[in-house]
Amino acid sequence: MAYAPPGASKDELRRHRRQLANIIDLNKCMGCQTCTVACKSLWTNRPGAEHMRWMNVTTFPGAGYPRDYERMGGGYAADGTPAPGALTDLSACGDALRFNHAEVFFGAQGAQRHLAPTSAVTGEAPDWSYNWDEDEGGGQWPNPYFFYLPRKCYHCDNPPCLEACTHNAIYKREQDGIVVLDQSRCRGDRLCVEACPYKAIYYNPVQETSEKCIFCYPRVEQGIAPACDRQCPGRTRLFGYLDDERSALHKLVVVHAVALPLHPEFGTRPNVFYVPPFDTARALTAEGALGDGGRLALEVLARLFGPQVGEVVEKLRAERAKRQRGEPSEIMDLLIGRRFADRFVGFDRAPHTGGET
Amino acid sequence: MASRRPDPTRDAPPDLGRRRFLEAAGGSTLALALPQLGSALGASFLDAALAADGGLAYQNAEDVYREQWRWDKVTWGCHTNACLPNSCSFHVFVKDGIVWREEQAAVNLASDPRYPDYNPLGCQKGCAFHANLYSEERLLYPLKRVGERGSGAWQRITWDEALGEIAEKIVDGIEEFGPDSFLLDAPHFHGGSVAYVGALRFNAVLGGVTPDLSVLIGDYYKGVSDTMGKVHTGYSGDNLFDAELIIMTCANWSYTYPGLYHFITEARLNGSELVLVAPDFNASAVHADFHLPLKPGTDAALWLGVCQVMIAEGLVDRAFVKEQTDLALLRRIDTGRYLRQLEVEGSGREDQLYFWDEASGALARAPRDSLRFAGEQALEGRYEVQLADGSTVAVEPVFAALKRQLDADYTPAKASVVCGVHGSAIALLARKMATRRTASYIGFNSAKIYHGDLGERALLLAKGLSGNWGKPGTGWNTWSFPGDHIGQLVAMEAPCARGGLDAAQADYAALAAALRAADPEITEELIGIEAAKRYTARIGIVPPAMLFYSHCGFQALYDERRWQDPAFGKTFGEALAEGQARGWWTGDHLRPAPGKHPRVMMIAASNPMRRVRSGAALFPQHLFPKLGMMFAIEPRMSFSALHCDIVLPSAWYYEKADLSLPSTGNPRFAFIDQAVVPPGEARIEWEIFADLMRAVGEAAARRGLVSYTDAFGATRRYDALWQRYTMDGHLHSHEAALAELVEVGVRTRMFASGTSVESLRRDGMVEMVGHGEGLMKHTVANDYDPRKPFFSLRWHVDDKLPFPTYARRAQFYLEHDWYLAAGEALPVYKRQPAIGGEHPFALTGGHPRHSVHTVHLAQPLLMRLHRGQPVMHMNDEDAARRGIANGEVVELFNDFADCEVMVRTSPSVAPGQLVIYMWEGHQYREWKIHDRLLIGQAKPLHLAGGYGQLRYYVFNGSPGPTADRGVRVDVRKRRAQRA
Repeated sequence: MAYAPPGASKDELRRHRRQLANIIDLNKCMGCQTCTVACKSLWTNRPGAEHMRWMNVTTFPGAGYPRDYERMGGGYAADGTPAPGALTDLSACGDALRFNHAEVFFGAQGAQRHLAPTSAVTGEAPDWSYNWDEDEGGGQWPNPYFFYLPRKCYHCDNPPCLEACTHNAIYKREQDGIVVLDQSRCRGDRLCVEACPYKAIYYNPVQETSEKCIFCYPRVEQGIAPACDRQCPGRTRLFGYLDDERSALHKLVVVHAVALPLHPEFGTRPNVFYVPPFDTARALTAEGALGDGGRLALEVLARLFGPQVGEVVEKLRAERAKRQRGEPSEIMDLLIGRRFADRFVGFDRAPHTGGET
Repeated sequence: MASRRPDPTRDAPPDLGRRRFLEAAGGSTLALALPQLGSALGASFLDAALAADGGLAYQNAEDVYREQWRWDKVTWGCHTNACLPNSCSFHVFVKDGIVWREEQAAVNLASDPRYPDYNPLGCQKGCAFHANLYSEERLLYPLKRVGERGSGAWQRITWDEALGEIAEKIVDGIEEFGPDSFLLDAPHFHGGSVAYVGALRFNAVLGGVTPDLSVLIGDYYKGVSDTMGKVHTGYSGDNLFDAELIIMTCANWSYTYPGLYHFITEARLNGSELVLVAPDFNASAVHADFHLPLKPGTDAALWLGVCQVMIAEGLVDRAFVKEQTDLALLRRIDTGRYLRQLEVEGSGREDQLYFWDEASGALARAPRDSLRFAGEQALEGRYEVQLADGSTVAVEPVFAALKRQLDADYTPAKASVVCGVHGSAIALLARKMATRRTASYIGFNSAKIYHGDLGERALLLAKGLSGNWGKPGTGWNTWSFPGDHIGQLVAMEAPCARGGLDAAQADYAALAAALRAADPEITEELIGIEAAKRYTARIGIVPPAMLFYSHCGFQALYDERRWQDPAFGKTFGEALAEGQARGWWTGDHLRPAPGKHPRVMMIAASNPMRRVRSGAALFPQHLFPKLGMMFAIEPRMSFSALHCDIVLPSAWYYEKADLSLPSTGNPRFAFIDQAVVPPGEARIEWEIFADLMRAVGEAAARRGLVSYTDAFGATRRYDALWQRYTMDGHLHSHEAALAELVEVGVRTRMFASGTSVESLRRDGMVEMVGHGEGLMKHTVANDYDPRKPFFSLRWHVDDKLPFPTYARRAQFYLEHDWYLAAGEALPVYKRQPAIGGEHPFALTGGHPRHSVHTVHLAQPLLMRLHRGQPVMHMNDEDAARRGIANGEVVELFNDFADCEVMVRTSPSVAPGQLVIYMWEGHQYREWKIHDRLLIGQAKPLHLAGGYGQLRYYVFNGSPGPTADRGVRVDVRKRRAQRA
């Protein structure tokens, strides 16, 4: 794909023949952070990238990651014009805690020194870092509730980052729709960071460029699913081409429409879709008896996934009820996904071969 | 596995990568913490980015990241001995002689395509293990303490100096007290299978003492053992897919079993329901259909309420109950004891018991060699029986007594008052269990509750009443595993090729013949248990509670009457004395023997200062002063290593070849290859043990010492120790030991014949094909077929094999005189004593999410996934009432100890509950680890013996020194804040 110089049409940069996409099933995510580790060990274990979690998981409700991203603007207004957004800082991006192992082990100060984190931002004991509000959640005893919300770049159809970059350093790959931030053309202006409503772009202070999730394209080019998806022990993920009619991903997103984008109101048309939590733990009455419904209010889900979520939750409940009656359910079978490789149609090659087998 | 790149571990690692790494790390001015190894990638990353600048196409720029996806070689890996439950096969990615990442191999077959497969299998700990290798925690050189114990003042010494000094102290100890002076802290699997065998074999050859690992860490389910006569019954992960109802209790799989968790969520999608019983709304409650918020330690009340409903509503599977349990056996109403052959017939066996046969309207012997019974056992009624002496006694089936007790004390309304779960929920649970295939999981928390045994017995009663074991989709997973290769290699005197296993088999055959002569109706399983008792004593494994009581200062806690069950009345010391007098506890169990002291303590990949409850408070006062030498063989500086006299650095996963130890949950053995060389002067454990053994012989020779007498009165020669440890040199190396381990595995039919180190290196794993040829096969009591989901106890249900209990059935009535005296003959609810003092909060805890035990708690990559320091979870309203803010550091205290810890507030924690998961001791201010407050009260009733299943052998029996869940504590603001 030819480089589009500044001033060239953004349509050219958005143009793509096919689109890769993800499903993340929130009914399976246990917040274990394996995806976070998988991504960090592969892509962001470099100087200047320590604070980045291209793939991240936080407890919802909570501040999210980057901290308070939902309240930082960006994306598009209802009329389709770009909405102003704020920059994230190192602290909001989860810090990069430092530790004092050597001092504790070899400092000859005994119990006077304990192993403790220090903020890379302040040099003091941290009062915030990545996943700080893990498992805190919302509600009130005896009806607390929470679930885990994994997030990454959504490789949007209408990426506001791409729109905002004055150097045309951001483009969608023609062959698969992956949104790439060209490191050689980035000037570190961070207009993309402001523009992204999901705050999925991070500034690298060493390189003085911004970086973001690349959907593991070096793997994908070899027929290997992204690391976060393939390494998820909860089997929450599906990955592949959205238009691949063979795939469970296509069936769940397009045919059955039970997977939804996060914050559709941001107007970016994301390509990572979530199966919303349904049949959550039964609420308890004031007396402690089992109530009729789940404890996760529909409004909470609607705030995340839009008004359609009610319909989706009803459909999922009805399908699970079929299984409880011993009737078949294609949707449940697709979500169960007995055979691991079926989650990654076209991208099920083994990573150690580099795609050679 | 095929490697498509040159292999830099065979050649020298390329200098370029190393130099870049060093330059970049030293020269950076970045105000961020640099990942230790990230710099090598960073430098090339920038170069590539600059080179692409000015190009005319975007594709060139994409090479920047493509370059990061390039490896020199890929090898097999696993770390699952660090988390015994799993055997996750990984690919380990190496570049420039450094392990940069690992990824699940994800080539695990489904048992059957109708079930979910086991992929990808492997969690954040496994995926971050490369960071363990290069963490600042790694030990690189032998170190000797030069300051006060725990001062962190060390001197680097040579291996020869270190081993020589330790050997001198070992000989000192043996000469003073015999080998009882040598104490091996129960090794864990954190160093791998071969290292685990090596530590136990070293101790066995020396004749030393080592506390029982499973009992010590509170993984021994006393109530399961009391009921079933055994503990280690498991199921495969996919057995959950056959369950219509899954009950998780005392557990949080989302934290502790992430590799298999998907079987739960996928079973739910398939229609089954998940009931989570836990005081707090934990991370597994997120996916539950029902969260039943039980008050800590009240499990028995909940399950007895469930049982009451099942009986009252006529939901009981009566045929199952009559056949599988002791509930149809007759008990005397006057004494409360079973009706026995001796008293009925005037001769015969004490343990020949009776039914009332409704078919014949008469007494009938309960078969001891089978669960089959031709008549029709009565479950209710009261009968007059004439005894051999002419007297008449009234008897009734145990079921009748049970029903009376349940109706009196455990209606849902009454149970609800105790356990906090609403009566309607208790009733609903009973109806669901009674009508659905129900699989349970009883977490290890249960074994750490003072009266957890009663909770287990009550839960199993509900399972029995509803017919929920021995069938697909049923049972409970209390950890079965194929471990014959480990067990045999610890004790073998010669390699397989020279008949090493034949000798063990001959011993077994002789024992079996003697036992069969005494009791023709003895089962193979009971013979196996007798053999296990002998094995346990022979290799020096002892019940830990007695060791702690007699030698480590725990007398002050265990004999504190306020913190023991008043209904039983005996202190630990009183019960132990009586147990010794009655012959239940002997010199095999009480080691070091009275009058002897431990002089040398060896730590091999274990962390006693963390895991022994209140050990961090008591060891320094009571144990350390007795020790002339405390040393650790460790890959990392643990809290315990920090307190040692000498620490010896050992190789870790990817630095030596090894084989994982699976459990039935994930039935496969994963191979670990050597991808890189150990760092610094770190060495492989097996060879450290061998060299230390040789050093002991040399130290003795220097003093002209020839031999010593072991605890069994036999003579051991100093100069034969190395020969014996290495089987006359056959197992001189780690590789030789691993090959032998695999050979034993083949010969005991745990995996397919033809399996070898070479085949494992090629295939990366091998499926389990059986539970071995030893006791475990009988314990699980089902044929193992890798092409089917596995569940235990089928031989009892389908083939009617008796259980290894006194009553030869699942025994809910423990008529032992102590149990009768304590009021625990039938499962009952008992209030937990206020262990720790009268304080308002119940402290609970367990395994953390981001670490297996303490192995990953101080590893930076994983520490950056959370607050990076110990936290205590507290109900938000409780905290608000105390004026405590989220993130505030507070003082936690009880009558015994105190510490400081950061609070995390959340509505998910129950009011009155505090939760702290595991942390390393040196992560706490002043190293005051919260475990100091835990006490780990041992329950004196569990010293009862001399009765069927009330006996000790390895991993089974004796009081757990870990009852810490629900210990009483209070919280206050720190002194500075209070002022």
